[in-house]
Amino acid sequence: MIGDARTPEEAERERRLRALTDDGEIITAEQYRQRSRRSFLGFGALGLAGYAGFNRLQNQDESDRIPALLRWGLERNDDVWSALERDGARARTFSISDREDIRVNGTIGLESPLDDALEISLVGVDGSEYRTVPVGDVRNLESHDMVWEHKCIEGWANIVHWTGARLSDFIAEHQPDDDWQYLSLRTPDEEYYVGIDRYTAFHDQTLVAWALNGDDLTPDHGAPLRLVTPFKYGIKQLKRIGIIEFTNDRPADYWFERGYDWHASF
Amino acid sequence: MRFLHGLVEACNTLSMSDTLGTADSERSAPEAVYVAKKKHSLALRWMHWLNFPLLMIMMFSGMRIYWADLRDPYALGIGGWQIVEFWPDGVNSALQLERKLAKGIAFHLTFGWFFVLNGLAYSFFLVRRGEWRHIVPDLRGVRDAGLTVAHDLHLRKKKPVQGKYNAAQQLTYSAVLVMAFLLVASGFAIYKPGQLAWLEAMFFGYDHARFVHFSINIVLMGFFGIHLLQVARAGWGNFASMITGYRLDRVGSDEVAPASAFGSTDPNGSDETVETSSDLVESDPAGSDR
Repeated sequence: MIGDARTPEEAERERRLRALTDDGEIITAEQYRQRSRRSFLGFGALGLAGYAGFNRLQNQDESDRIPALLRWGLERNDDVWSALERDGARARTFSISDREDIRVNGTIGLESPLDDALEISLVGVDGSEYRTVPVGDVRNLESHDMVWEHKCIEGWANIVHWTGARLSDFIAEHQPDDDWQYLSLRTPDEEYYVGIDRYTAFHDQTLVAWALNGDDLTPDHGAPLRLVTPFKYGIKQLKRIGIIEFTNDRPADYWFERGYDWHASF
Repeated sequence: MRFLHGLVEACNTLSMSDTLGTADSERSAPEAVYVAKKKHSLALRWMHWLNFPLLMIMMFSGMRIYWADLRDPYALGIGGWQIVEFWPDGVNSALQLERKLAKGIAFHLTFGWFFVLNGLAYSFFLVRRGEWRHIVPDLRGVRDAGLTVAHDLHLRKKKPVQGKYNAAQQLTYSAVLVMAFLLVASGFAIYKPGQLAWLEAMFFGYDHARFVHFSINIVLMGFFGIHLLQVARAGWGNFASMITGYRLDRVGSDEVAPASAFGSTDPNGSDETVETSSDLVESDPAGSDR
C-alpha cells in the first residue's frame, strides 16, 4: 500500500480518494485486447482523417485570399457580432491629456502629389458623379473632438485625438435622393478603397477628420480629410478621401480582397 | 525506457498473440493475472484528443497574429514591464510566421469557437459527472503536490496518497482549466474590445488583455512540454489508457483494483460475467511457451 495515514482523519481521506477511483469497469485481458485494438484503429483513422481534412482546408480554393471555409468562418463571425450590436453603443473615450503619438502605418493611395484644391467626388446609386464638394467646405460643419483608442489589426493601439465633422452631418447635407445601404470611400487615385455599412456611416462617433492630436493632418496621416470610426481597425479608416459613393451593394474593400473580414469591426 | 518497453508490450498485445509480455513477465509470479480497469470515459478521451489539434492550430495562428506587429509588442503600453524578445527572430522566419496575419486571424477566429465549445463541454462534463472531484485538490492535496514533485524527482521515497490523479496533477489540471478560461476571456477582450468593452475593462485595457493572453499561451506551452515528458515517464500503459480508456495491469496492483473488486459484472451486458478470478486466468504470461 502506498498509504501513510497516521490519524483516522488521514485514513478517511485516503479511503475517500480511493473510493473516487474504484468504480471503473473491469474487463479481462482478452476483452482488453479486442477493445484496445478497436480503439487504436479508430484513433489512427480519426487522426489520419483529421490530418487529411486539415491539409485539404489549407489547399482549398481561396475566397479573397483565404481558404473558402475560413472565409465562411469569418462571415459567420460577422453574423454573430452584427446580431449582438447594440444600437447607439458608443466607444469608450478618453481625456485629451491621454493622447499619444501614432505612427504612420500605410501610405497606399497617397503616392500621387496632394492636390490643394481637392474636391470630394460624390457618386450616386446609379454610379455617376452627381456633385463635388471642396474639402474646405467640410470645416463649415459642426466640429467635434473625439479621443479614443485607435487599434491596428496588427495588434498595436494608441489613444488619439481626432477633430472633424460627423460623417452623418456630411451625409445629411449631401446624400443622394435614392436609398442606399453602403458607402464606398476611395482615395483620389482609387488605389485604396474601403466600404462601410449604413449603421457605421451614421454612428455619431464616425467622423470625417481634418486634425490629429490638435494639428492639421499631415499628408501621411491622410490630409486633407480622412475617415475615422472607433469600432473598426485602422485598415477601414481611409486617408485622403477623394470619392464617396452611395450604393446598395457591399462595396469592394482593399483588405477584404487580401484575406481580412469585410467589417473589420471590434 | 518504460515507455519503449511498454510499446513492445503493446505491440504484442495488439498482435493478438497469447503472450502479454516478454522480459518483464518472466520475472512475475506464475499466478499473475492481468485485467484491465476503466480509467477514462469515452467523452473525456474525445475532448482530450480534440483539444490537442485545436490548441496546436490556436497557438500557431496566434503566433502569426502576434508577429504581425514586427516591433516588440511588450515594449509598448504595459508601464515599466518590458519582456524582451520571447523568441529570437530566427524562430519567427523559420516557422514562416511573417506576413501571414490574414490567415492567422481567419484560423484563430474560426477554430477558436471549437476550442470554446470543447472547453464548455469539458466543464459541463466535470460538473455533471462529478469528475471535478478528480482534479480539484483539497487543502491537503495542495501540500501533497510539492511532495509528489519531490517523489518524481527521486528526492522522496514515499508517494503521497492519491485518487485518480496525484496531487501535482490535480493542481496542474485545475490551474490549466483556470488558465484556459482566462485565455478565452482575454481572447474575447482582444477580439471585441468595442462591443465587449466591459470585458476589456476587466483586463485593465487592451494591451493588458493582450499581455495576459500571450503570457498564458507561454505557460500552456510549458505545461504541454512537461505533460509530454510525464506521459513518456509514466509509460505506455498510461498513454494507451487515454486512447483505449482502460488500464491494463496485474490484479492487486494499485493501478487496477484490489482482488476483492472482482464481483463486478460486465456492463456491456455480454454473455460473459466475470465471477471469479479463475475466469480471468487465460493470459498467464509465464505459462506461455515462449
